[in-house]
Amino acid sequence: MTASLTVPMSRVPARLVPYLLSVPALGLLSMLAIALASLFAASFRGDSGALGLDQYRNVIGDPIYRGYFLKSLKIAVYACVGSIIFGCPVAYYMEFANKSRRRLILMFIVLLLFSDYVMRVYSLILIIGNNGIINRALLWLGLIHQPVHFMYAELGVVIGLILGNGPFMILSVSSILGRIDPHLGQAASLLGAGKWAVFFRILLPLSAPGIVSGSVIVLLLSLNAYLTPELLGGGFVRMIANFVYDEAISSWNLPLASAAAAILLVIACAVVLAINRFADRLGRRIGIIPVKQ
Amino acid sequence: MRTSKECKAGRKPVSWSRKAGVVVALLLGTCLWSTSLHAQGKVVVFTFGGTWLDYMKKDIIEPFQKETGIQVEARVFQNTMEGLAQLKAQKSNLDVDVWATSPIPALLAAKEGLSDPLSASELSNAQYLPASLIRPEYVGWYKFFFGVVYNKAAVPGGIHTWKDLWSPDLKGKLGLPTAAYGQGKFVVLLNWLAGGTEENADPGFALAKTLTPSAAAFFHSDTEEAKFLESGEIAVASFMMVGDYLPMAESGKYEFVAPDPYVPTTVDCFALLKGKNHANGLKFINYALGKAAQEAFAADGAVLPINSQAAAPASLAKYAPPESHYRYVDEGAAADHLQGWIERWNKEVQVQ
Repeated sequence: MTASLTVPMSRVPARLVPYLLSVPALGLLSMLAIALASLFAASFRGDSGALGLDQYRNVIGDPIYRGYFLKSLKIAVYACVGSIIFGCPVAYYMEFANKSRRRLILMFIVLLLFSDYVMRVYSLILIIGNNGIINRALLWLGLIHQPVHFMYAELGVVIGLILGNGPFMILSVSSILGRIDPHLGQAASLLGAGKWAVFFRILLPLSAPGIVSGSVIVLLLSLNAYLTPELLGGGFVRMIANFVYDEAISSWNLPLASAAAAILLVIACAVVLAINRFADRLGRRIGIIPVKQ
Repeated sequence: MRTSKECKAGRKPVSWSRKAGVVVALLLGTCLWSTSLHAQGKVVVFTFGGTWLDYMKKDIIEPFQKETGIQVEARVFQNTMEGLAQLKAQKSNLDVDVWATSPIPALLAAKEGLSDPLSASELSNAQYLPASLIRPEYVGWYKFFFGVVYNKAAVPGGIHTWKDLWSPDLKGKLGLPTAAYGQGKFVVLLNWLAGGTEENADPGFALAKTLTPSAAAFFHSDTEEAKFLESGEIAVASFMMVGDYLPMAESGKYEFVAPDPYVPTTVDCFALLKGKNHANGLKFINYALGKAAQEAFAADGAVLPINSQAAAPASLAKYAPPESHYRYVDEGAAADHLQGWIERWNKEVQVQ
């Protein structure tokens, strides 16, 4: 009697499992790669159809188009700073609040994130619009005679971006705060440090990685924003994404739109690299990242 | 003799890749079969959204479906230029049969090879239409004109001529269209007012720049314009069709005026696209051009029918200007220059 070794073919070999599990990710990456490749290919097509850098020259050489990039960067930075100013206190409060309050705030933030983005932005119109609650209150109090134009200007767009993207800052900072050893603060207090000293010399430096990662998220989302300037900009505030859309859809100038999108991609990568480098240096300086030997 | 178990053990099992291949083939076959089945009694219509779609469903689509048994799949777009972009993106596999649009996008679509030529011989109702509105690129659907709608409380002096838009009292209160809105009709209007033509828009752009300080916001679509007006963000909707005004008229807060000296007048139209249901598309278009559909839609949309047998709606009598005030846009010239106007408007006019 011979022993037969039967390999059951219905079972996938173990060595293939990691590859199979990465198939969906590879699929997504391939689609992204194909999209980027066609974007870059279109961006090198000149007005006559010949390949070259004409479209990049058109974008960079035109002061109006350059202005869209500068405006987008400016608005993104304002939105990032605003998210830090308004988001960090919420994150800190969440961390030191009692369990039920922390859960309530977290639930509110998650609801905010999962609610429809357009609805969130439109709700701002009810608050800061010419006919919104703030202007009506100010007019009723006699503090102003004409509505203040929060909307359809850069201010409205920045407020919209802070509302839309600020929750990412809150979650980013609070996740880092949750990992800080609470005994550190207690030890500092025991050694005579006041509350503000504990905050500025222990909590803030240790939560810096959260602020940095939150800033990267908010900056990138704001730099690429389309809906918020479209809805709250009133046609006056045109960021790069709006310009790309108008060129691609209304003017059907795909090569120019692709060149602008490619430049935006490069700028976004540069911003991320710069922030990471800054964060690295800052981390080494304040001692939360070990110095390279 | 081997047992069934031994037979199963000895039989070469089917690899999972072969099994997957069979499943995929079955799925593909089912999709193709169901697609072909539905294509027999179906027409895909790409049309304006919002209230326009509601009117179209009530006055054309549902009666058409009932009469012919052909199912209508309605798809909507935000504005006609976006609609054109969507169709261009689907060019290699277009599954839209009829496009309810405006003449300029229809002309542009024909240039892109998206549409099939139309002829009067294929449409029995064409005999009741003006010959100038039956072109290979499109056939007219209804006629309409643009006017101004303003908040009576915010503009107590009222508006009577286009020049009133430049009044210092209206500074920061105007809603102005983007250049793409209405395929540049507002640019054409400003050009006429400044003494230019569709071939030379320089006078119009010079005039437009003087209007920018009065702008509170720029709108891309009819619904956005109405939203700005009703929410109080603008006091004057400077370029609105009377059909978009009528739902607001009931409140009594707003007034529609067809300003002097003339109103830009144009048609919306149907283009027959290279979809999969050519014959049904023609039937749908012909139905929409019939007397009953024209009268019903004109009454709901407050537009003017182009079928000579159809009566103009009574609701329009109050708002329509004298015939001498209608001024028609040179659609062909506007189509040639539209993309340049859009660029120029974005750079020179729509700036803060």
